[in-house]
Amino acid sequence: MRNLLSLAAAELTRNRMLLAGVALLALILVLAIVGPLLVDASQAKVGATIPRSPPDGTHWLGTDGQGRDVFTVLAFAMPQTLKIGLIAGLISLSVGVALGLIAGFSGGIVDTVIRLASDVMMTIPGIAILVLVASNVREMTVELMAVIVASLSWMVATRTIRAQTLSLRERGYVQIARLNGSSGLKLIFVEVMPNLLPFIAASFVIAVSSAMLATIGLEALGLGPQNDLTLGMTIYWAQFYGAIIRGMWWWWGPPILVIALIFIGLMLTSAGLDSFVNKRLGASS
Amino acid sequence: MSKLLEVDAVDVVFSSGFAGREQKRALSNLTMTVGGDNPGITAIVGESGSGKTTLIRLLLGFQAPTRGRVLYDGKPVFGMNAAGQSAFRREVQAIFQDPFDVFNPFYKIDHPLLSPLKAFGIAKSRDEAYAKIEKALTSVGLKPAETLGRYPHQLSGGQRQRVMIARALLLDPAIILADEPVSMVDASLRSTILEILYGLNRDMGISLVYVTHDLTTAYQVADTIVVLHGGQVMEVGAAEEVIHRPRHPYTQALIDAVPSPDPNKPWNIDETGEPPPRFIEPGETLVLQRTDPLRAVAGSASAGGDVTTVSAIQAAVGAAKRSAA
Amino acid sequence: MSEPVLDIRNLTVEYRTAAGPFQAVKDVSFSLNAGERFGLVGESGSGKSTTILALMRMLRGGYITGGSIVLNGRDLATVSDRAYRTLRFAEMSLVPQGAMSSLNPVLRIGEQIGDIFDDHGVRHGAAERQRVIGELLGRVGLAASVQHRFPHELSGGMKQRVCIAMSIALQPSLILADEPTSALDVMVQKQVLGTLGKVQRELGASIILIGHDMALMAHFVTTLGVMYRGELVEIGPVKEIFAAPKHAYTRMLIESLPSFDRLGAFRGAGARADTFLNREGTP
Repeated sequence: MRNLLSLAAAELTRNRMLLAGVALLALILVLAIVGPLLVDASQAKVGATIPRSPPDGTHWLGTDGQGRDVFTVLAFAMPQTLKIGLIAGLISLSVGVALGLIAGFSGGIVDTVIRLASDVMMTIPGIAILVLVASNVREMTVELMAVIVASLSWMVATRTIRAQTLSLRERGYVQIARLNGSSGLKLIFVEVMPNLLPFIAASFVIAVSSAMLATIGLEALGLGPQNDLTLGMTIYWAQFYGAIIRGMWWWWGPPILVIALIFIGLMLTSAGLDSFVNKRLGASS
Repeated sequence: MSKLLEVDAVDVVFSSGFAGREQKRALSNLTMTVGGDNPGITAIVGESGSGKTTLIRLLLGFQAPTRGRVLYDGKPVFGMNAAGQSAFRREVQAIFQDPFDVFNPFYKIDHPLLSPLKAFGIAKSRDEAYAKIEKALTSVGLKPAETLGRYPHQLSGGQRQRVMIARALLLDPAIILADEPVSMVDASLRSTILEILYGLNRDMGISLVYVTHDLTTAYQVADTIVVLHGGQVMEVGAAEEVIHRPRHPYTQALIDAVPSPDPNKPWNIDETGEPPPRFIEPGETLVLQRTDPLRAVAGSASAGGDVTTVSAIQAAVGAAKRSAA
Repeated sequence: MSEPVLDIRNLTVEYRTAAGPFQAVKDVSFSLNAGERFGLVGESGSGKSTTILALMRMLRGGYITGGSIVLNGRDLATVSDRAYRTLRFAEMSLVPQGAMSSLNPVLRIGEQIGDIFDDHGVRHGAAERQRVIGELLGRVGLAASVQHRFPHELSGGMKQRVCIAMSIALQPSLILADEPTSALDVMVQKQVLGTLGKVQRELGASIILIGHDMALMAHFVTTLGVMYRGELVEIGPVKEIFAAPKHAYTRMLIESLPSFDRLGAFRGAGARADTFLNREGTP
């Protein structure tokens, strides 16, 4: 464990992109946790106050077409969006890592089956399925969104992890571990997986990014959770009420800004991890 | 009574391409023995593509024979029960070529030393484990204080290779297979490591199979030398015989290809750029014919003669060594 | 007596590392005349590859912090990066370590050799280019048809010879060969060295051969330089060095060479190799 922490600390000091990305994401995370505690929840209900008023002293980001204080709405929407992204990312990553490791290591029929499944699912147009499912579900919730999105994004992690496992499988230390009496799952998780941590971290960031993108996309189309406040739904409502035509920039602007910040954070982290992973690849090859 | 690891008339053929159209014979009709009551050192000398890597994998049970059997203690290696497997894994150990690749970069070098003690139940406590580890490290000339607790990249290639030998010794094996153990180690440490390996046989009665492309180091350590080319044995015999009185043209060519450390002895670098001649025709299967009491040479099956196996020659060399001692 | 092809004086190369500057090459001096074969022998970390990379100005993260390199009378420090590009392969070429993996796997051999000509502004018509390349391949003992093949279709020795062909394409006066035979089988090694020697002789070029195998050096080079931890600890005619090595490290290298004359007797250093560098230079 100490090895991991010191490795992480060393890399963060060295890798400025990674540091910037992680710092930004940490900031967003803190705001998402702290935000709802600092605002008045009643201001986020429909009809709480005078609708369509621009930002002023009381309402820092003005109010929306339904009489909600936009700032409060954002404070609640942000953690919800993050929640979907994180849950979806975690589900698809866990499934992906487990399947990828097992497929890459076992070879043979197990590998063929997992590979076929992931390849076939990858060719299915995700958006189409998502729209289909979302529009037919009676009550869409945050958790359900996460599961739907995850079910269509586990394949990439599987392929990535499988490819890396295949290359690590032939390494000398795996043979030595066999000679040392290790085998099967113990071999995979003790010898191979720790060396995949950078890839797993990178895959996680990608999984979260694509999950969020899919979610926001669906929500902007109106297929998201109707009764929960999320960033994507805010954009949907804004567009539904013609905020753009009416020039209510304080309604559709801030959520887009927040989404952009989240993605910049994710992208910087991903790029930083990428350079870390490539450095390791270069060193070990 | 020491157990025998036997390779019995084994072929290893790799098929690839659609429906296994393309076939590559990695090993043909090989019969050899490792271990037993008279532990010796057998060197397998071959260039790349000769089949020596396949042979190591075969002996370690990582590769199944296409024809023939690999037996340990009379039982087939593939398809042994759990107890047999465990004994096999423990008693047959290996040392590999690349001293860096064999260490998991995520863990300290203690990891590959501790795990087998735990997995095979050799040490009951951490203290006992470390006591054994320290003894093993000292026996290969390493100082435990300078080696334990370090990461692989903090040790030199020679040190790492010796840690790997210590690892093999921890399990108290009967047989050690060494795959090019010194080719990636600096020249200054090569003889140290070879001396350690030689000592394992002489002092601890461990049977060694030493696989290499380097005839000279094979000559320094082995009793029996097996010359492998294209998956078939070209010549096998006592080290003295094979090196100083080679009979097969391939063996002679290998000997000629090694530059002598004396610049005054001619090496005859041929500048015409002619490719080396073919020593085997594709598809030709050869048999070993005994030409001397302690040697056999490959020849075509039709020629007749006293057909023998590597195992027989190994046994003869072993007997001669015993009676000379 | 004509002037030497290459004259290196007090060359020092440093790498910037997290722990401060590291001198990979310390105060190395030697020179080469036309047609001479110079061997630079040393183990890993000796600085021999760094010296060659410094010559080719191909150092990654390293800097020449001292000394001079004069090639064919020209001080290379005064040559701009652009001019260096013309210099490489035309006056001084490199057969890199692991040359076999230096070939682009998706291009045919002929295209890759052709690139060298194109990069240096040597134009040929299509048919003439094929003829020129075919002839070049012939000089390294390969059939002209090899130019139409991909690298993966060739054996290790053949790929190495392609790299040698590439290095002599523009008839340089100096060839730098970095461990050209390390990854090859013994018999192919002999053949590839033979090829290298032949083209060098025909071209009248000088050659610096880098390696760790003293025995190989003994039979190929005329002058030998021994490098240890960045310093040139011994230099002289190869036969003299073998007959009477002066430095302890050289002695150790020679003694640790296995030969067919000894059985079961192990020679060479049991002690750690860093006892060899004595500041006073005495053994």
